[in-house]
Amino acid sequence: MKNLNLHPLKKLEIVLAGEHQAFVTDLLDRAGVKGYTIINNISGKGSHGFHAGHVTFNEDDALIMIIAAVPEELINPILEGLAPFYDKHSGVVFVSDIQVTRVVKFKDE
Amino acid sequence: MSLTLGEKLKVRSMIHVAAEPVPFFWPMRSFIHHNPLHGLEDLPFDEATTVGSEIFHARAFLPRSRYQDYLAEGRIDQTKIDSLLEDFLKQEDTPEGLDTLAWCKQMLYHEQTPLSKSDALLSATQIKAALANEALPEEEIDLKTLRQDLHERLLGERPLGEAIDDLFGSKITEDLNELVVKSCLDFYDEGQSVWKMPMREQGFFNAWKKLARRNIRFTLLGLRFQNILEADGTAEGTIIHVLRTLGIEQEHWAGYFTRELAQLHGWSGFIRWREQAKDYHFNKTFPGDLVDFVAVRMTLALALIQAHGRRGLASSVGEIEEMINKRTEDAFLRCEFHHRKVLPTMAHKLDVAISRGNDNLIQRTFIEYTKAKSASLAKQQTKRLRNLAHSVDQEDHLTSLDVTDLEKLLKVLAKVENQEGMFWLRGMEQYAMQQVGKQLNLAPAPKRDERPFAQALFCIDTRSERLRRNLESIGDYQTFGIAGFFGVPVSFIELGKGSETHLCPVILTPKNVVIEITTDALSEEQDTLTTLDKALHGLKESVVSPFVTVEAIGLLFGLEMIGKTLAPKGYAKWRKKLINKEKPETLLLLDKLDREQAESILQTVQRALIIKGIKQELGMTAVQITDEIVQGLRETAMGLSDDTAKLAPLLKIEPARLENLIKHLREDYRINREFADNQMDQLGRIGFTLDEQANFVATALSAIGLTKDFARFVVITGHGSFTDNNPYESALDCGACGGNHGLVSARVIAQMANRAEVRARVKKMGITIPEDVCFIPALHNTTTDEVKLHDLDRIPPSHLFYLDWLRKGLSGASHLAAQERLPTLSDTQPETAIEAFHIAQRNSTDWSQVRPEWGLSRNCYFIIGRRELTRHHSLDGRSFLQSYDYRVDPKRRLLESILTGPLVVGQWINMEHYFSAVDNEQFGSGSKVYHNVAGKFGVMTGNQSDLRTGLPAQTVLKNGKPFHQPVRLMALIEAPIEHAQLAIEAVASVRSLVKNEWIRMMVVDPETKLIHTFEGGTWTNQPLPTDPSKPAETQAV
Repeated sequence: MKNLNLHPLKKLEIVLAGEHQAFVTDLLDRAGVKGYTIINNISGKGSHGFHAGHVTFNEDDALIMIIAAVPEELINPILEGLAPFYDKHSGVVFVSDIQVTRVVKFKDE
Repeated sequence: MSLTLGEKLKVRSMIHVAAEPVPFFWPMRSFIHHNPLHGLEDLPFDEATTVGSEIFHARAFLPRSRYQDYLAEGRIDQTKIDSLLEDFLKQEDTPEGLDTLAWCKQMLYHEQTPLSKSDALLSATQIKAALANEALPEEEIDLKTLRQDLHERLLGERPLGEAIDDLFGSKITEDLNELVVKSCLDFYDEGQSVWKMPMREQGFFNAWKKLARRNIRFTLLGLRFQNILEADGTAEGTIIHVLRTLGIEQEHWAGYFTRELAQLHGWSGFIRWREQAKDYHFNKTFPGDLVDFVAVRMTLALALIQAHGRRGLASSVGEIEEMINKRTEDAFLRCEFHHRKVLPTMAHKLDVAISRGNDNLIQRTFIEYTKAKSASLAKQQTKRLRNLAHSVDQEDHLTSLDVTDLEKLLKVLAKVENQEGMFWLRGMEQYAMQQVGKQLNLAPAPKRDERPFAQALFCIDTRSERLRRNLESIGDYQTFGIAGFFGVPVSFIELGKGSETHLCPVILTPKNVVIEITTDALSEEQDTLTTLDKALHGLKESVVSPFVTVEAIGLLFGLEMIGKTLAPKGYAKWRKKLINKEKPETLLLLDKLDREQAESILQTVQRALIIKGIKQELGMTAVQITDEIVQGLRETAMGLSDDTAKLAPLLKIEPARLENLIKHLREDYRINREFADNQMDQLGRIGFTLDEQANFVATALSAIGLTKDFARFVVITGHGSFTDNNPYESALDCGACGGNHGLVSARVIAQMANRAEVRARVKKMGITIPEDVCFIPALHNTTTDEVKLHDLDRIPPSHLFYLDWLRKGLSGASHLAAQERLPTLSDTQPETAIEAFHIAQRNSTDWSQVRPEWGLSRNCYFIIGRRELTRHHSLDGRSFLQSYDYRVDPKRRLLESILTGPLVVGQWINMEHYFSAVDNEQFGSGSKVYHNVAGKFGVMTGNQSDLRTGLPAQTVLKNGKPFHQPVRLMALIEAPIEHAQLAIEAVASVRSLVKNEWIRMMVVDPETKLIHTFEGGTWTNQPLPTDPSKPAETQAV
């Protein structure tokens, strides 16, 4: 097998209420993020207690997670943009180091 | 000035958060009930009303005299208010020896006018003197406090234009609103205006700023934009530039945005809704979000303020601060004068002093004015206090109070007045709770030997209650309540309509598409066959195609050009026929396509497009284009094979031209692999799998507790309102169906439940539906109360014998329901049920009828339980009725679903009615008589105004008084208390609505026979008031 060329990137995991999905994806689009994955109806425990993930009749209330791989230089602007939002709403953002093979899918050369 | 990416995103985020108190405004084609204070639901109800009243300049409770009327009518539990007052006074420091409780009661129950609010210009010492008929002691005005008041009133988060208007009597806010509305009307127009604003595809702010400099109207007003717009070309940058120029401190930005947005909350609510509706056609074509809106508004505001500043007047935060600090008396007098709080006798003097601006004169006038105002306030206050004291027979006590005690009394009374709305509301709610408590029947339904003649499912909508009760009273009918989309979220493509309609509550997004199809021939004139006819012809030969309509394909394929480029004349004619005449019999395409079927549709559409492409690019005629050519081009463009060598001679063109043609087909006609995959995904959205269908049917039936003893007929009733000339018609339609008619949803679930394969799967889930059970969809017309059965051609012949009987039963119930309902609409008292029914029918087609029905007005309860619980009583069309049997729901999943879905929608409807009734001008939309349609998606009052949100006066008021009695929704769950509490706790949103008392929650426990109520953070309980074994006489609530 050929040696894989790995490129470092940052991974964002953004947890928030479903009703704000459009706001965050719009913010990511404007930041120039090239793609993201959305996981609907997640469950878990945080400062607001346990949030069950099986509610079927109200998508606005369900928690979602948006995952995106982004170049490092976008991390600060995105976090700066999300700051006023998280001042008021519950949810969390994780940033971690990852590596990808096809970097062209995530950043402009 | 140029912002960094992070700063830009931050502005966007701030505006997103700042706009949250402004509720969505949906285009009125599908009116969605909403809570005007939805954005404040994380606060307790009473706090939210305080904040909301301030932001929206509105009232959150009725005036006192209305509550006094209710009290006189016996609709308020006075003992409740008394006990609330007692509890309240225990926390307060009240004067010794005075019966403060009696004072408070007298004030609330008998006095019409509130005492005047405390004022910096009137002290307790002065009131004391006035009560003793002595001259007012002269008190020096504390300038420091006055300054502080002015700061709070004029600066901080308050838009600067409003502060300037208060100080200088200018009309900046009025002009600003007018200019913003005009700009919005131009940009957001959806086809009403003849003149179309150019460059709209570039976005609201970009298009607007290009036109702004050349706008004659702006020039005439003396507005200069050049510097503002050149500071930073972007919307975000312009907003920051304006804030900095005005001198607004950063800590106030978010609050400042909220107040600017709330000034035109209809428009900002519409834009807020629109920007998140990613699939909304006009949003995709002409993007314009709240950041654009704020940028336009702030640019205009700055230009207006600068025009004002050019007259040498204060026009920034710094300048106004300086004025307040250095010329406090001047600033105070100006606010008094321009804010219409001025004493009439002094108005002229103030005017002279302010316009001359002479320091000495201002000082003199200030002293004279404050003295006169103190005297006038003292006179008013003492008169009201004396009246009160007289009524409670404590006049001597009043005059003997020392200043400290007098101060205490005034403070307590002011506090009570401040909170009285909540006292009244709780008193009203207590009464309503007791009324429903008296009527509950916990006994199990009597055992029966044979199955009922028919069962009928109705929407939980309050208007179903009358019909259900009357239907049950005239025959062997069982009825059930379920949200009117029957638990199946559907994206519907109606025959002849090129758009998808979401038939489910707006808190859901349907994943499956249902297409309405017809067996009617598409083209009667074969000689007008064009490309698309051919495509459809081709489709006819494929497995599913007879019916798939052009719109459905065009829409699913993202091919607008199908409509525009390919639509044949014959098709257009057929469609016109469809719109103008009776709709033909239709079927719903509910089943998933298999891969082969989907591919067949895809290929047929691609072929049609290729033929069109060849004609267009090479000018060939239909006869010259062989199947071989089409097939070769398709495979080559899709990259399946390379037939270029063969194709060039067949088409008689050079290889270069062929290459060009293939490029065109790939790019312009979208014959390529990626797009084809996308189209296959789209086709995959059509219909439901058998398992999905079985799941939906089983869930709907278990949710209402109908799992055995099925009747021969199960009527599934959707509802809709049918009136002429009514922009609010959709507000009267089914909220659970996204503000649409509910018939399609009824047809969908009935069609599913009638399938043998579905029933076989449902049986495995434990519900056996006998073979002879027939599900029939029906539509309840809420304007006339008529019920019409549909899809009757699918009823087995064996049942036809009984069909007539069913029809008779339904029409009997319709007539009785109309008779019951009609007296609330007019003064005519129909003598017979049939006469009532005819009047209702006439109302629905009367063009001049502003109130064809009351809709959901007077809604009050949301009962979740068995029908037996309230079946023997009239709930007067005031209750949502959701069938539920906790015995079939041990894991509480069904109850949680009911709480998160139907109950939340019920709460929106209830709050919409509440606020529209308490302040119809601000939260409601005022009288329909003055409404004009705006931009094809909303209404305005008169020529130009904010978009009117909420309900019109005709829906909630009668003769100027509220017809809808504004109380919060009282939800009642029939279940063991732990069961109900666990379900409430499990759903964060409902837990918070209950805890914050946006919903008043009650639980009736059939095992302990206790009724539990949540109030003030705790659960309390008491035994049921009546003997449940003996159903009482029917009585109205």
